[in-house]
Amino acid sequence: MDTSTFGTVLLSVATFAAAVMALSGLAPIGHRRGLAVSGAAAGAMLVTVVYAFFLLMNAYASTDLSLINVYLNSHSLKPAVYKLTGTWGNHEGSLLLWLVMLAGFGGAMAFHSRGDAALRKRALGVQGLLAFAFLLFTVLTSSPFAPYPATWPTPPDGRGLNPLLQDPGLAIHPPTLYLGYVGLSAVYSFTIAALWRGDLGKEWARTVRPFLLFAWGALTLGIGLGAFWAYYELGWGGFWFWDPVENASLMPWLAATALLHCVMVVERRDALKPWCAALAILAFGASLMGAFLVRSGIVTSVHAFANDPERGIVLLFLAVLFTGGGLILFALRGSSLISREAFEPVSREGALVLNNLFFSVLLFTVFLGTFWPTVIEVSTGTRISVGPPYYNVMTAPLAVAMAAALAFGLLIPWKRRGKGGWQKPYQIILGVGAVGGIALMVLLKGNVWALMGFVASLFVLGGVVADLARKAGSPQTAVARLSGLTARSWGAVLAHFGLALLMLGITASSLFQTEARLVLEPGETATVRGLDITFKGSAQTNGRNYIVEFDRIEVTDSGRLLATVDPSRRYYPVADKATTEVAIRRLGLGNLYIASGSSPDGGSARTFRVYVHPLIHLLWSGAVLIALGGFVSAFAPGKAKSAKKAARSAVEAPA
Amino acid sequence: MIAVCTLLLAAALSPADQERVDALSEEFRCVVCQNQSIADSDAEIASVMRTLIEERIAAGDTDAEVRAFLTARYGEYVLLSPEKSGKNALLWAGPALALLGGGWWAFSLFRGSAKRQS
Repeated sequence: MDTSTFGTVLLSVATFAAAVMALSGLAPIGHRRGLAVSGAAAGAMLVTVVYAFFLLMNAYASTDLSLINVYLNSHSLKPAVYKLTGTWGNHEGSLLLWLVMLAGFGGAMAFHSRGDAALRKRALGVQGLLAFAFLLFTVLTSSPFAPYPATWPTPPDGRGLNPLLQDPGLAIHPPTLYLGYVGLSAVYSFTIAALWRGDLGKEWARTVRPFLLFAWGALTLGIGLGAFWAYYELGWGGFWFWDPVENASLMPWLAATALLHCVMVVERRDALKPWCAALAILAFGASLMGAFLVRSGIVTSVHAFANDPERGIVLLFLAVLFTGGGLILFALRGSSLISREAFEPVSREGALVLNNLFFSVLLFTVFLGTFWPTVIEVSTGTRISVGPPYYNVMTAPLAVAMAAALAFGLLIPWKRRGKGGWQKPYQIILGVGAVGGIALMVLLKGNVWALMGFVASLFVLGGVVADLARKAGSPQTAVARLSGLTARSWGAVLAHFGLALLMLGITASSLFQTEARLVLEPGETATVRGLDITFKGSAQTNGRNYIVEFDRIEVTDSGRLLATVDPSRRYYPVADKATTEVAIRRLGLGNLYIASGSSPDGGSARTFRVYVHPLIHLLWSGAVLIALGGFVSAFAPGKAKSAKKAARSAVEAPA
Repeated sequence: MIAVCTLLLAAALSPADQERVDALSEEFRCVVCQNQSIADSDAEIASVMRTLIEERIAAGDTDAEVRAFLTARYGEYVLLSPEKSGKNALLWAGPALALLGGGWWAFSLFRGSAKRQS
C-alpha cells in the first residue's frame, strides 16, 4: 500500500473510532460499559492518529513526493531536522498535530482513573465528538495524505519550506502552544459533561484541575517561546507586536488564567459555579477561534499560513458550533448551578472575583482590539489599525489594579475578614510599591508607563514575599513550615514570582531600551550606550540550502573586547526569500542585539540597527517560572494524598 | 546621499524635537509591513514617513498636526492608535464599560449573598 492510501486508511479508522467514542460516551447506556467502550475507542483513535502522524513525518524525512503536501512544503536539500519539523509547518500537517494532541488528551481522560464514572463517560463522549469533527474536517478538506496528481508532470523536487520557519523555534513553539490550546478541550469536555447533568461542583473542579493547569502551563510556555522566536528571528528588536495571531493565543490564555483562579473558588467554597462553566466554554472557544483566525486570511499577520477562506469558514463553523452549543447548554442549565452560600467581599474569594473581573475585562479589550478593524472594514469600508499604542493605554492601568488585587488576595484568608492581620502588610506593600515605583521612575528618568510597570511589579513581588513570610511564621519555624507547604502552594509562589519578573522585564527592556540606526563603512566605529561598535567588514559563504552574507562586528567597552559577532542575512534560492539573522550577546541580564540591513547604496557600507535591551532575561525567565508553576501545581498530589502525607510528617502548615 | 540628508536634517532638530519624532514614529504603521511601526521598520516607505515627520516637526507642527498630515496623506490605516471618533466609540469606551458592568455584577453578587446571610 502506498503512503497516501495507508495514511488515508489510518485517518478513516481514527474517524470511525472517534465516532464510537462519541456515541458510547453520550448514549444512555450503563456507566461501566459506556466508559469501557468509549475508553477503548479513545485508545484506538490515539494509536491510529499517532501512527498517521509518524507516517507523515517519515514521508517528510524521505521527501516522499507522492504526497502533494510534501511536494508543496518540503525540499530534499533541507537540513534533516527541518524536514521533520516541517511536518507541522503547514495547514494540513499542523491539523494532524492538533489531532494527535486531541487524541492524546482523549487517552489521558480515559486512563486518568480519578473522578466519577458518569462524569468521565460523558466527558469522553464530548471529547470523541470534538475529535470526530476535526478528523472529518481533515479527511474531507485538508488531508495531508492527498496524493500528488497523476496527470501533473513528475516534479524534480519539492517547493521548500518558508525560510522563516527553518528554525529550531518551529520544533518547539507550535507543539507547546497546541498542547495548551488542545489541553483546554479536556476542560471543555468535562465542563459540558458536568453541565449536562446540572451538577458542576467540587468533583468537577478536582477532575479538571490537572488538565487545566497543564494546558495553562503549556500555553504560557508556547506563548513565551513564540515571543522569544519573534525576538531573534524577525530582527525587529521586539518580542510582542499585538499581532492578531499573537492576540489569538493570548485570549485563551487570559480566559484560562481567570478559570484556574475561579476553579479554586469552586473547590474551596462551592461558589461561582455558573461563571466557571461559562469561562471554561469561552477558553476553549477562544482556542478554536485562534485556530480559525490563523487559517482564515481575514487578518494579516506574520503567521499568515494557509490563507484559505473556504476551509477557514468550515473551521469558523466548528468553532461556533462547539462554543455556541456549549453556551446554549449553559443557558439551559446554568441557573441550577447558582449556590446559596454567603459571600464575604473582603476575603480570598472576594479577591478572586476581582481577579476574574480584571482578567475578563482584559480578555474583552484584546478581543475588541483584534476584531474592531474587521468590524469597521465590513461596516464602513475604511481600513483601520489597532496597534500597540491602543493596547498600552488600555492594559497598563489595568495591570496596576490587578497587581494590587493579587497582593491583597495572597494575604487575605478564605471566608472571613479575619482579625485584620492582613491589613498592615498590605499597607506596607502598597506604600513600598508606590514609593519604590516613583523613586525608580525619577532615578531612571522614566515616563508614566515606566511608573506603572514598576509599581505593578513591586506590588506582585511584595505580595509573594509577604505571603511566604506569613507562611514561614517566625525564623525558628520557617524551615519546617515552608518545607511542609504543598506542591500546589509552591506552584502559586513560582507563578506569581515569575509574573513579577515578567512585568519588570517587559518594563525595563521596552521602555529603557537604547536603539540606534547606524550606517558604517568597514573600519568605522560608533558608540551605543557606552559600547564601541566597530564594523570590520563583510563576507559571503554558502550554507546548506542558503547563501549567507555576514558582517563582522567587534564590540568593545573602553578598549576591552567584549564580543565579536556576525549579524547576517541569508538568501534561500529555493523559496527566493531572504531572512535576517540577528546577533545577540548577553550583557548581564540584558542583551546587545544587532541586526544588519543591506547596503544603503550598493557599496561597502552597511546599515545596522543596534539595540540594548536591559533586563530582558527577566522576561524570559519570568515566563518559564509561570509555566513551571502551572506544571508543578498540575502534577501535585490530590488533597487526600497530601493530607495523609502531612499527617505522617506531622508538621503543622497553615494553608 | 539620502543618509547624509537625513543626518543633516536630524542635526537641525533639537534633542527634544528628536524625542518627539521618535515617539511619533511609534504611532504609525508601516503600510507595506505586517504590523510594524515605522520606528521598527527598515522598509523604504517607513524611512520616507519618518523623514516626513522630521520635516513637519522642523516646520513647527504640533503632534496633532503631524498626525493629521500623515493621515490625510496615507489614510486612517496608518494610525496604530485609531481616531477617537464616533465610529470607534465602542473600541475606546468598551473596556471601561465592561469594567463598570462587571464591577456592578460583582457588587450585586456580594450584596445578594450578604442579604441571604442576614
